[in-house]
Amino acid sequence: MYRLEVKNITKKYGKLTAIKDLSFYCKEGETVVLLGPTGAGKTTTLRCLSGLEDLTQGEIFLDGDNISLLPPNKREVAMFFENYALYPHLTVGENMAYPLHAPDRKEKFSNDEINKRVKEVADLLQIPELLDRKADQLSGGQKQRTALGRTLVRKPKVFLLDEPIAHLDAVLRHRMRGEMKKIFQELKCTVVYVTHDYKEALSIGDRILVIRKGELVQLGTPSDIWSKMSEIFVAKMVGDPPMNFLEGIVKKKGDHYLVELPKLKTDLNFDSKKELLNGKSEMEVLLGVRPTDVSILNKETTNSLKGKLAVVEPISSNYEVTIAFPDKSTFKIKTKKNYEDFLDKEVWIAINSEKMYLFLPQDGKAIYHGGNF
Amino acid sequence: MQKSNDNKAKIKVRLEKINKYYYGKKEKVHAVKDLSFHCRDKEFVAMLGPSGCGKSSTLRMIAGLEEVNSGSIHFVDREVTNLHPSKRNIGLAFENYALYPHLSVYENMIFPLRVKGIPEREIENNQRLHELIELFEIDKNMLDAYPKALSGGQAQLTSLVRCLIRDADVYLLDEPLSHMDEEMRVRMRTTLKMMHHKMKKTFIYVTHDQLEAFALADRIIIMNFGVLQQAGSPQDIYSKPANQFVASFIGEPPMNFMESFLAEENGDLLVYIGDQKIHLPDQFKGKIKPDKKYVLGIRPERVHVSENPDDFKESMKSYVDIFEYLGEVNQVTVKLGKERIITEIGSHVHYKQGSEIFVSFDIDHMHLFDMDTLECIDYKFR
Amino acid sequence: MDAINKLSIGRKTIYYILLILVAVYVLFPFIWIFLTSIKSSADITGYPPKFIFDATIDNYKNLFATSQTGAAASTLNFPRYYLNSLIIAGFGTILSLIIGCGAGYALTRAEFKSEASRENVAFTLLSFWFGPELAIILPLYVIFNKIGLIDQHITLILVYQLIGIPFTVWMSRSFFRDVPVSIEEASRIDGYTAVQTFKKITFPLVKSGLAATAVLTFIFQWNNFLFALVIGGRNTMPITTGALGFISYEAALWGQMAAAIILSSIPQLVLAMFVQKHMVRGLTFGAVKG
Repeated sequence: MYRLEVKNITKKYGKLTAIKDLSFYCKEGETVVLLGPTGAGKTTTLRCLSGLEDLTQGEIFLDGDNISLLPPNKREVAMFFENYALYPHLTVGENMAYPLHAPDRKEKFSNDEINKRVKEVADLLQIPELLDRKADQLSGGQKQRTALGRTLVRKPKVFLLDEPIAHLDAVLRHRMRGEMKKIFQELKCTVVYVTHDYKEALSIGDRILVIRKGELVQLGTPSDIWSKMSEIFVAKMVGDPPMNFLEGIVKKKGDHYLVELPKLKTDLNFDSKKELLNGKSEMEVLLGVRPTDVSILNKETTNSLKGKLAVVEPISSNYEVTIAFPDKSTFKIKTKKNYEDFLDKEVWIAINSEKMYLFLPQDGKAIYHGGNF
Repeated sequence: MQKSNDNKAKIKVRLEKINKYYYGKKEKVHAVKDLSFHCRDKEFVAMLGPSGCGKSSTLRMIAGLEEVNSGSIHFVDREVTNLHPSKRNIGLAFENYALYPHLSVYENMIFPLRVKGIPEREIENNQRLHELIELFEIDKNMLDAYPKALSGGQAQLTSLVRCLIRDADVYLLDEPLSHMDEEMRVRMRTTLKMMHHKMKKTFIYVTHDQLEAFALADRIIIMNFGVLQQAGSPQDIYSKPANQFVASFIGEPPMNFMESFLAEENGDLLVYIGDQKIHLPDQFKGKIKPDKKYVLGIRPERVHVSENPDDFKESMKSYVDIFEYLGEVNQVTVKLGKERIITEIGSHVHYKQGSEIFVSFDIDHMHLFDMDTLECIDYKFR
Repeated sequence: MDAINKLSIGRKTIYYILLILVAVYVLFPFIWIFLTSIKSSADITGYPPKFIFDATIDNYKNLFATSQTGAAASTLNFPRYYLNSLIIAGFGTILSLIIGCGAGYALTRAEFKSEASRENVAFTLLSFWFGPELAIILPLYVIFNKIGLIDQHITLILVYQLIGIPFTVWMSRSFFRDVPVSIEEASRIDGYTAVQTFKKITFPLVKSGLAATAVLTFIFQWNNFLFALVIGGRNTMPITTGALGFISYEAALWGQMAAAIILSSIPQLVLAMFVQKHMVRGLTFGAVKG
């Protein structure tokens, strides 16, 4: 029996379908991340789980009990709102104690116990000195911790978190990402976590559910999502800078394959254990290469593409290099080395065939994952 | 970078001891304090700082939209401190676009050319116009649209093109990419850099986003509370921060800071973090006082970890606090005493949370910051 | 204040002189009425007007005296008018608040087809407030006459809802709109029912706003003249129409009328001072956010 099981849920607003036949489950202590672009239906899914939205179809089970029709106050879930949704007229301590004071809850808490729990969570989040501060007098980071504290005090069966660190500044976001991961692990929380940031998803998720227009695209472990993506949509979601794509044609040549890149007038050779052409003589594909999986050379070599080094952008300890091909398309590379001396010069970029991905242009499905299959 | 090292390039814009005050509800706000800097011809200068640091005010003063309370602004040899904006020959693109609502995107873009009285036919064949439209990926549908129908990002793009189409001496850009979504912003950032490379003009760019400033600029001016913190090339600022503010504001993942105690034992300088210690390079001798607390700062890529202490000449024992898979790399946060230290390792290496691990620093890249003044000790001699 | 602080001393002086002139101009009628109310009748009608005179409170005494001097006064009953005003405006306000705030809340939370239709409904309600009272007063009179409700307190209370409800709807809506829906949702998930949430979260956040709404509603109803004139009668006459009685063919009791006006403005002044801070917000009709 799963802690949380979502079976074929659909949510429609009039003619608009926000979620379409979505199913997944969460084991106890597991973190499932919903990853997708804005408007993909991530928040709507959370709202359905919390009971704020009625389902059009489908069922939700919590520890085997069908909770689909229960109102939010009867479901044993806690939710973190993207805008924090703190009660502005209450102090931090009162905000955190609020869920424990709920009158209709099965469990009743004595005042001592409430104080003890609030204190515990405040210590965990390192905000004990804020407990008497009014919620509308907090900085962004303090609000974020308070809101997180309010979901943690209840010890609910499932935590629903909607973009919990999206509005923090970069340094704080970085720190909270790790801290939250640790807290979830230590408290063995069952979490459904919504984000549009792939790094958050990879870091925090035990499993990641990639969602597009309310439909499931891929559900898998972080390393599946990173290197065994099911379609081009997933490849575009993860990676910064995003994966490069080139139009090509796959052909078989002896016992290995080659991708012809007609626009760049080059062929790239590669091996595949899996039959790719299924009897056809050739097939149109999109070749995907991550910016980290290439090297820049000043002379031609096997499996290399010629281009002009157009831009070098330093990013922290790395450099992002943009190569312009003769057909005006561009290719981004992320490297540790500064290639500014090569600016406006011709270079060759060598592609590691073990790290190539191939997708079908028609439906975006991945057919080849380099050395990963 | 090569252009900023080219000291022969003449100075294009020079600010001298600029002060700016605003009048708040109760007190006078000193928004810009004794600010002096210059930018050279064809240089891309980014002003970087948190909101309210005075960077936008400074840009507005350079543009002439805001009065200067004291100090002077020079364009080459010409003082422009009190000159009307229209006489400064500048191109402007601001965060909140200010497009003409009754004109289409195309008409908005060519507005500066029309104002100059250039005939329509010439405008249509304007080479830079076509170049801009192509590079910034503006399609036909968008050109015919009216500002009302545009997204925030598209409106900013229109305003950016309207700014760049002019043949100005200096281009002033205030957060021109801020309303774009992540993907578009990164693309347009690269395009803008390419455009600067082609145009060979002087750009002054205001942003709060360190990655943007780093990617674009030849030189970065970092400000906080109206005061210049540091000016230099991205690489300089990254590897030689002047103070703890600059060090913490720059870099992703951020620099690690930890409280440390300095001691001199047998003529060697030692730095203690909790009960663990490492040697400090001799460079620091005479620059610091032993038996005193300092903040030790080190960039994540200068931290190395291993399960085997023999991998390092000198290492400190710590524990794996958080382990994160990030696709390209894995990120480890180790706990050393009460301090947390972040480092990145290859995506094939895995450590168990809570396991013992040895951590070592590239000693030549350690920074010490004074606890009171926050100044970087090694800034002066590196 | 920012603008003033920035000015030089010379300009500041001019600024303040201008402000004082405006204040005198605005307050002059009120001061005049107050002075009139403490003058004897000879001083009132004297020309040129006197600014130094022997103050008297006779006018105030006379208002409450049972047998009054002068022919016109025989029918005047100031305490009665005062009580009528209190009853009608008081109950009228309570009724407006109950109905109007309910509707105002619903208008911010209920699902509409689109935001435009939500605004349309809200604006339609507000537009009742703009309508000329004269246009509906005769039909109203005929209706209430037919059902025999003329000259009863309940009649005026009901008629006053025409000005009370649109206003309370519009104004309370602007306060409810400032309470983010998400904090109500958070409270639902935290284990509270909708009613409990309203009590613990929403109401505490809007209560000062609702107090301002109540005060303004009360003032509007207290000040109404036309409805009271046509639909009110001898028993229900409030102070606005009652004060008219001081002028008749035989005599005009300026002093007593002034005293009555001063007394009738006291409740408004007191209430307005209590909620001054929120009133400005309310009077902008929620047009300005924050």
